[in-house]
Amino acid sequence: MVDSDLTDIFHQGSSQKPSYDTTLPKPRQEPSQMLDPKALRVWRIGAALGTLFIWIPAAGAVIGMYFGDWLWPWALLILLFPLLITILQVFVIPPLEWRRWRYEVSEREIDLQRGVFVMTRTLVPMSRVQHVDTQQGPLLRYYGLSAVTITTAGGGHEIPGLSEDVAADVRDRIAALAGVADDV
Amino acid sequence: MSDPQRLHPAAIIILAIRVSRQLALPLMAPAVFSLINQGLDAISYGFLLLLLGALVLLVVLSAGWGFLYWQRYTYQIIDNELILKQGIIFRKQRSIPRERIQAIDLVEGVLHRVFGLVSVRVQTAGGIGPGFSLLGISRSEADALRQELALSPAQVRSVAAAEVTAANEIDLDPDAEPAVQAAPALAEADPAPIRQLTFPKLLLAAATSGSIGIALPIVASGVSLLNNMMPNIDLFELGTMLFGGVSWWSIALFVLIAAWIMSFFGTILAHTGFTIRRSEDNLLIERGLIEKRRATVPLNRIQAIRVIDGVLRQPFGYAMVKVESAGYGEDAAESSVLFPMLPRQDVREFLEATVPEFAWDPERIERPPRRAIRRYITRMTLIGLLISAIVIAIFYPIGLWALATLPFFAIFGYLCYRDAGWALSNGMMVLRYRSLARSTAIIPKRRIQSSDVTQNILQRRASLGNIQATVASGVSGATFTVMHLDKGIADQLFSWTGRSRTRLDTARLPRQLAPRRPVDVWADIDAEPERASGSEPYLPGDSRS
Repeated sequence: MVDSDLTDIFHQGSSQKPSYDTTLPKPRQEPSQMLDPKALRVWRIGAALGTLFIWIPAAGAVIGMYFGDWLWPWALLILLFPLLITILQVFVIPPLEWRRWRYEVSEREIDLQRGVFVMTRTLVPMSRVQHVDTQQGPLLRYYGLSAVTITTAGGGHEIPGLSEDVAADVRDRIAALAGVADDV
Repeated sequence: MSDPQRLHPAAIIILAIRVSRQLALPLMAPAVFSLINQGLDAISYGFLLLLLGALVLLVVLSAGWGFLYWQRYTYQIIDNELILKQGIIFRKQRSIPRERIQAIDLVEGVLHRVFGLVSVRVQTAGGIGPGFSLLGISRSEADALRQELALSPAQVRSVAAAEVTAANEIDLDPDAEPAVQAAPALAEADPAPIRQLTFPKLLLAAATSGSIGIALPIVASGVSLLNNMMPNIDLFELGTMLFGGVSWWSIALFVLIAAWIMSFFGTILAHTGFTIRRSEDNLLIERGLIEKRRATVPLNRIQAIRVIDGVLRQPFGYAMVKVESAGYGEDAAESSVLFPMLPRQDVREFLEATVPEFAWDPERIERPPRRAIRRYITRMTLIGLLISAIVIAIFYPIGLWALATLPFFAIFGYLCYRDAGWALSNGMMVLRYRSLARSTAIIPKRRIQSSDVTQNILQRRASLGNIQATVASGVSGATFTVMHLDKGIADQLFSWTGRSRTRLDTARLPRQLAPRRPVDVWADIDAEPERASGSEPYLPGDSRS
């Protein structure tokens, strides 16, 4: 058995079709709901604020260099790095992330999908939900958004950017369904 | 009680005192520093002014924060839900379904007693997972809340918090975990032991204990500390004096042996006389050489079982059985070992005697597809490279030998592949994976708190994915992961963990994928009689045959 495994190690097609097992339930469809479009803007602002943590040291280094040994290729390199990060964090990743983000609240479970580099699907059975929160910080509040947090005994899950009305609706719906579903 | 209720106004004082404790240090720091630096000379007019200013600021900030927090904090019951609103800057609204609330604890701290208040701690879902507190309401309000929640007086426990815990009780974070829960009283007469660890087995268990992995870095850092502490004594010279010569190899050997001895005696201390008994609803575990420890694990709190084939034990055919148990208490972490070492072939029988619900040893574990082998091997080899790089960086020329271990990492990667897999049966999921030791997790579907299927961009090219199941464990959760399964299968396993019943459309599949195992995956144990008879599956277009 070992040999047959090893002969196949380097055989790997990029067009590999997933296989299915008929004794198992069929794969779930992608969750249907998307986040509020304004969430994208909030993420970008948040990410832009986050890049200050690299911009400030970089700017400091360049200013220091200006008064010390001025080597413009180095200065350029030092500024290029935060620039690249900013482009990625603010302009490239958030739209991809937003497009990937899906959620669906059905009668029996909550289905979430997210992640650009690592795509993650999460399924939370309704009967496991202990409580649901809506949360908003100053930035989300300014844009009239709210995040829904679902807590189980195994940890928390978040739907990050919904409009206040939708978030309240999702929260109430989950709370109501969670109260009914009971297979403990 | 449909109107929003606030906490008792006196709670402002409790909140303010609580926050002032945290603010005191940073605000008083300048004054304290100048006192330390200049001694009593520091006490000047300006110093007193500074002190006074800090005090005023402290009082104003604390009182202001306490008031705003109190003003924002409301609770109410609407439509069978307890709703909490809180937060000054970050607003939060929390809904707890009435059905999820199992009990409430009335906690009385020292400050509470002064104002005649209680703190209400709400326990959800069997006392597992995060509870939360109402920080201070009057007893009559607490009683009104109890009636509103339709809890019987028996579901209300009064907890007189000791003064020390009371101080921590009024926590800024209402989600803080209750610290201790009383263990159920043990039965008068102990039931007969199910299994006991005999002395020879104890010695073998100690000799093959996995805790050598924990002891190793401790001993290694101890040796290097010793070397640094005595700069005058060169360990090499000392070794040469004592043994006539010393090399890196002998130091490494010494560290290894010392770590082994440490873990050996650690295991002896912890597991001597390991005895497991079962009463009606509890497992009783007794162990310990010097300090006898008794732990009680309620059977209905057990979320998953893990059978661990330790690296050193697997060759001898022995395994350890661990339990993931929800709930807190002093024993939460300690009671996780159900039995330290037993022959692999006895595991099933042992589980039947102790936790019958979990007594399932699948005859066949489905492995990841062959195209995953490469990934398992690459992953371990990269880890090996990383470790080698660190070793080389520290011990430059001689450290290059670390590269010689790379083939072993590759072989280990293959072992990780060979041991990974899954099986399903009767509402039970088995996930097997190797991190260092091989773990086989036995997880009832109804205990799964959430499940994930993940796929990174590299896995995407080969259509592979990981499957994860999370159960409640201790105060948070435990997650089991099997990597690099076929994405289609991973998606199906993911689907299986859900409660919607969707069956694969067999007509559209190629012939060779006909069912091969008579496994009834539908016989899950979601006891939902009203649903099974009446309601339709939720997703449109699903058919349940």
